[in-house]
Amino acid sequence: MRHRLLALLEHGARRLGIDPHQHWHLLRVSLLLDFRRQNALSSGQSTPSALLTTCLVYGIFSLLLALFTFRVLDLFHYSLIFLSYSMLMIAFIVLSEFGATIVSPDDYEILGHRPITSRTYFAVKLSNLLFYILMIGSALNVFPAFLGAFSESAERLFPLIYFPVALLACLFSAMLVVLLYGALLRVINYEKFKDALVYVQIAFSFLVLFGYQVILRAMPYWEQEATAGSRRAILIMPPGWFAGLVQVGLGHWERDFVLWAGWSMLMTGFLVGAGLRSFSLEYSFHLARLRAATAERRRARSPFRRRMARALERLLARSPEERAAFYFVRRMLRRDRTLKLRLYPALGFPIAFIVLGILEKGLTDPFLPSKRFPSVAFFMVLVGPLLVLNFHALLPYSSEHAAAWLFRVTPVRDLVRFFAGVKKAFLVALILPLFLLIGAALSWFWTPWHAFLHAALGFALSYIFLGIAFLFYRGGFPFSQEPMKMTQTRQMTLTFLCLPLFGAFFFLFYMLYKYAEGPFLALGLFLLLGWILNRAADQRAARATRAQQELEGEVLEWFDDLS
Amino acid sequence: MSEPMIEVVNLTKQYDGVLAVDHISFTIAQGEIVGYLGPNGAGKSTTVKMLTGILRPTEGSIAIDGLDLLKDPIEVKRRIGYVPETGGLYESLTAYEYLHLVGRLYHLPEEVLDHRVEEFLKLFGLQSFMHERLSSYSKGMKQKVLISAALLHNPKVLFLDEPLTGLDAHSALLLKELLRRLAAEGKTIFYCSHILDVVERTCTRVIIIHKGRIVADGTVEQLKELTRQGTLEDVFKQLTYSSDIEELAQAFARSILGMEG
Repeated sequence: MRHRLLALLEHGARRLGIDPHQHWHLLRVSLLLDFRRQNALSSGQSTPSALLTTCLVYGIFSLLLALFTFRVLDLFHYSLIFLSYSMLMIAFIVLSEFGATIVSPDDYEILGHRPITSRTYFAVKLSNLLFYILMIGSALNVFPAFLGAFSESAERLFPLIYFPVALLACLFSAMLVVLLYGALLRVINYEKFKDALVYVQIAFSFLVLFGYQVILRAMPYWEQEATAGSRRAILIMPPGWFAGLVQVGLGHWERDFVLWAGWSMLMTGFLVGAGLRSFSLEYSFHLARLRAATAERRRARSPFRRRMARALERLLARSPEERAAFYFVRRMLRRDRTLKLRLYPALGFPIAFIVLGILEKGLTDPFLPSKRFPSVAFFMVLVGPLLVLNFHALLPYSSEHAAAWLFRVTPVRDLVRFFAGVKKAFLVALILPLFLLIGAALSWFWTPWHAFLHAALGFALSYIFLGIAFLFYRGGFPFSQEPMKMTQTRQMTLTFLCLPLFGAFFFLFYMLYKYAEGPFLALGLFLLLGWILNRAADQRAARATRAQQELEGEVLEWFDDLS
Repeated sequence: MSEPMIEVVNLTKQYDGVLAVDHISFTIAQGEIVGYLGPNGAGKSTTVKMLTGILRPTEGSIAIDGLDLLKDPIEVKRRIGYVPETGGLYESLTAYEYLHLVGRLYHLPEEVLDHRVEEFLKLFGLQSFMHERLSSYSKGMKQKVLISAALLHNPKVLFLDEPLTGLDAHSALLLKELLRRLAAEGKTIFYCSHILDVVERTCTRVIIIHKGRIVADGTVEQLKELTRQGTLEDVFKQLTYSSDIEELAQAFARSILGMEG
């Protein structure tokens, strides 16, 4: 029986132009490579542990969400919420973590001259991706599936129907992103491809961050529409199609459910078919084209802008080490795509806050007495500290990590000033513009004086956080370690888990604004505290980096002895 | 003359309006060792990548062992072996695992594969390191693994891009001797290199490429006669450099020493 099934699968694969023998060995090796890549200098930074943490955190989060909702919502809306959440998360993870899995010209350098068809090669990439999708998709949906059986309109079959449908929805979501890669691959070169991907990711991050606001506001409308019987809007909402499929699976053969279920199957079939047919046929040549594409030529800055940049560097960074770090980190913040993706969406927050303010018919000014709690105004200043935590988590990693040999052979004498330069570059490139934008956005609703004082408080708080974060810096030069699959998602997830702690700051701000002098005093105090903490943090980061350099030296000596 | 093993006609590669390889044509017979020379950016690696099916040409045709590379890439790739200049290895795998993967991609029977992997690693002196990850290998050791991977399936045509990079004197001698033996057995070898001395001693024919075009094609002796030069290095210098090398080096030195003052 098992042999017959395998033979059938092999026959099917061959019909699709996939060599099953090559597929199996390449897939095995690709997963082995993912699981073996580990940073020797930072324990725990490996794909398996990152995958496990991510699955665990997602599992706990969806369990909590399910516990809050399973007795409140009917099964259709319950499925809709969890399918929306899963599909968004999967699309986001594929966009942010698996770009290199699907489109890896480096991989093609190793395999391009071997007798492997484009389809086999593409199928391996897709299978590798599916492994992670199944793991994360299961973590996201296993508890909601189980708790659904005890919901308001309890149906014992629910877990058995919901779980496979949810995995199918995750597959749909991943395929949609893969096709997006395919479309981009066809029209642009590699440099532009990576840039375009970053902008798509930034837009998507923004959607994830603010989408829930829209969903919350739209939910009552959907419910109303649904009961009115006109639910055609769901036809443009993929999670709705799959929620319909769950209903059909449970035996609810209503016209709308059947329509959505049919639509979900049709669109999934279309996506898988389109992926396999159009994308995979020319896959290897697209990759080769990407590798061959010449780099984008950048226009040189005008002499005036060059002079201004030099003057700024001299003003802010006194020692050569500090200037070097300042210049390096500023350039990386402008050019490194991962940093851009993870940090730049924050600059969109002020715009989003204006939109929220308009939706809420004004933003409560904490300087003036009001019955409404100024939660949005307080949250705005916390965007800075959140950005600081992300920067701190991302700083050691870069796809250009190999170039960090430069720091190992160049005598960086004053590491304390070096780290001061790193932090100043971040403050100048991101935190300052962010709070200037926030000040400008708040001026739309408040007097400019209030708006910019509030923004200045946010800046000072971010400065404190920068000091605190670097007190815990693990050491190492910036961008000197290889980023590994899933580790960034884990870090981001852990950072988001810190969000509830920010509630304490809401209370602090509330107390500060109760007194007229409170904000002024706090501004001075925050800046002083920030200065002290940052001085200490520079010393600490320098010590940790020196310790890591010594460890690297020992490792190299050990290798020498070995060979 | 025996049957042509590699036949290239009007091969062209254009990147964003820049001609990297400009309408080159040549034929290589079975059993020939051809040295492919050119300064940096001349189009050597682009040519090799097109010949190995990694890059698609903008124009022209390539036939290997009578098969059209563009029409039948998989069959052509079964017949060739390639040693790339850089990269080309999964460094988290061991040499044993990497070579097994390569052999399986060519559908070699497991017994044959086991035997060949062990023998190749033994010949290159890597047997005691075969279960260590490639990331811990030196440059020369990695190069030996790449050469083994290219020969594992007994290809008819071998493309080598700077194959001696990192090899110690003993391994370099071994490889040169191996290439001569393979050519004598009827293998065709396309050898890309900057090391003119090695090309002069190993290759039966030399093609020199400059700015994407072939500027010379013949035996070393023919080229020396044609250009009235004493060594291949002089021939190469005459055909590919417009400025005086000594003068350039002097300007460079002046610039470095000037910094001290």
